Amino acid sequence: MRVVQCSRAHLRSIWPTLALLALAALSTGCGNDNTTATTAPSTTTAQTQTETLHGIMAPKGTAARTFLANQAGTVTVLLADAQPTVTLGLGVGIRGSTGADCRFTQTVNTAPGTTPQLSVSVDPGVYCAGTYDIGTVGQPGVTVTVTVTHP
Amino acid sequence: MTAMKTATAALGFFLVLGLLTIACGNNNPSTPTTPALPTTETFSGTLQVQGSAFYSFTLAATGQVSITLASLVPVAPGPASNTVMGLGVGTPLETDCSVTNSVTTAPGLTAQLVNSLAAGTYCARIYDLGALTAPVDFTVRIVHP
Repeated sequence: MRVVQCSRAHLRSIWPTLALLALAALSTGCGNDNTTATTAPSTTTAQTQTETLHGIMAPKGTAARTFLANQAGTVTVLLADAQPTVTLGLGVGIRGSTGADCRFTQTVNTAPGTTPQLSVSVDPGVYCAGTYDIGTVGQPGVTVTVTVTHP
Repeated sequence: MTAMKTATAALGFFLVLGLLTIACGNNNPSTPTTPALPTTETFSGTLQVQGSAFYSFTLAATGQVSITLASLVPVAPGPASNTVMGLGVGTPLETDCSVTNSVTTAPGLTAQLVNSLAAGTYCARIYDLGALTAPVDFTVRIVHP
């Protein structure tokens, strides 16, 4: 077994090299600790979302869906389909204090179509939209499809 | 003399090492605080011809209060009414609401009455201006700090 012995003179000669190596290692390790990934700058654009209510409405009944508008903007409501085809009341509003019923702000009597029958400006918040029977729905009810777009 | 030089160099090195270690702290900024979300309250009822109704609410902090007359429906579920009503905000006074700011408005889904108010107890009031010919179900939304 070979024993390596360092003389004092040898230690003195490599001391500055060791010191520089240690400093270099520390400097490299002392970087920015934040790990935030680089992301493209965000832009504020109105994101429109679409939600669909598909359900069966009984005679004298209502069918409504709740949705959340994340920001101010325009809500549109489309009665897209009713089977059998009948004219229905279509409305948009907010839930009452009990949360059970949809209290309409705007309503229209309409047959199914392809362009929104209702359009209303809203603040951010929770809203509801749906249909109600205006006396045209017979047994066993009507299948409705309502499409809502909102910010 | 050489030994003294070596000792001085070593002392200097460890001093720099110490300073570098202290400088290598946590670079993360402090966590931002999330602002408190506003409270939404819904005030519903039936308003009689020539009648009024009010609802009390409490602001936990100074801030903006938004009041929306959202719905008037004579017979629910049924067609919405566009009748113009009085809508106000004020402070509770005995068995009524003493209105300090008001508007006349039809229902809508954007706030018709916006006020900056200090923390405290307030009330929202809806009242018939003379246009009602039959009772209506109303819904008012209040958003506040």
